[in-house]
Amino acid sequence: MSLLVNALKTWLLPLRYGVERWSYTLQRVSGVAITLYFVAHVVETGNVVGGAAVWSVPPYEFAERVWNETKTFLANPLFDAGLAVLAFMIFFHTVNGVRLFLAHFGITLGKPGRPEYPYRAASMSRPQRVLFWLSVILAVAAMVYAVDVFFKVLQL
Amino acid sequence: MKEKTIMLLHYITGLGIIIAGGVHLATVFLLSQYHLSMEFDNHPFAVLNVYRNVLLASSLEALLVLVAFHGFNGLRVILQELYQGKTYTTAVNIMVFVVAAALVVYGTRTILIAHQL
Repeated sequence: MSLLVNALKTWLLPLRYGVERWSYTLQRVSGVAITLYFVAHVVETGNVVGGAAVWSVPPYEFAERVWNETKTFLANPLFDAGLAVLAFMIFFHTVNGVRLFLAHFGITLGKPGRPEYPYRAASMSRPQRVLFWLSVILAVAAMVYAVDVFFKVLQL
Repeated sequence: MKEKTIMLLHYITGLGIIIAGGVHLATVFLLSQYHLSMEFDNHPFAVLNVYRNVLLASSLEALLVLVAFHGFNGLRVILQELYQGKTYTTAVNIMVFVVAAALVVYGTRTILIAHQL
């Protein structure tokens, strides 16, 4: 059990580490959150046809009633705020994922060098750092857009 | 399947999600106003009309399969990083595969039925 707690602590608390560790933690936390949302979303959209009990084409009115009930249930600020946070996570995960994809195939990586103080990660080259911060900026922009769509704050 | 092949598929599905997910987000937020996209019917991008359109329904099916693979493989990798052991690894592999397959079946059911509504 303590093994698992230690693993989770090092995984979730990148406070003493550099930007690449923050990227690692955020990528994984956002990935788990998006996957959990995906499960909920597949279940929720199943209500378009009337829910889990329906395995053949149901009457139109029945499906419409179940969908409208689902919409009413989900229409509250808590779910909307959750979707705005999710927008941040999706955009961060996507752009940072592209950065990792490039790094994995050796694109945008710097030349290998001797480890010298202050021991900056060689993998975090300038283009890689730019992509990381771009993922943060785009994620914040997506969250602002989502907040505007759901709460009509900015009227963009 | 070899881990390196699975990881390659992880990247390929990730790139596929950018395209299929982009189409999904565009139909909900950009091609129509959000509240109209959430209507059941009687609007070009209302929920049912998206499922009735073969191309959009196909993109939803692609998104379903791609996210199921990418998301649950990511979860599998994370779970295997947290703890190692032969029984644990096998159990995680089987559990993740079963849940992902069940979601694909359930989501495909939704798409097929809604397409005919």
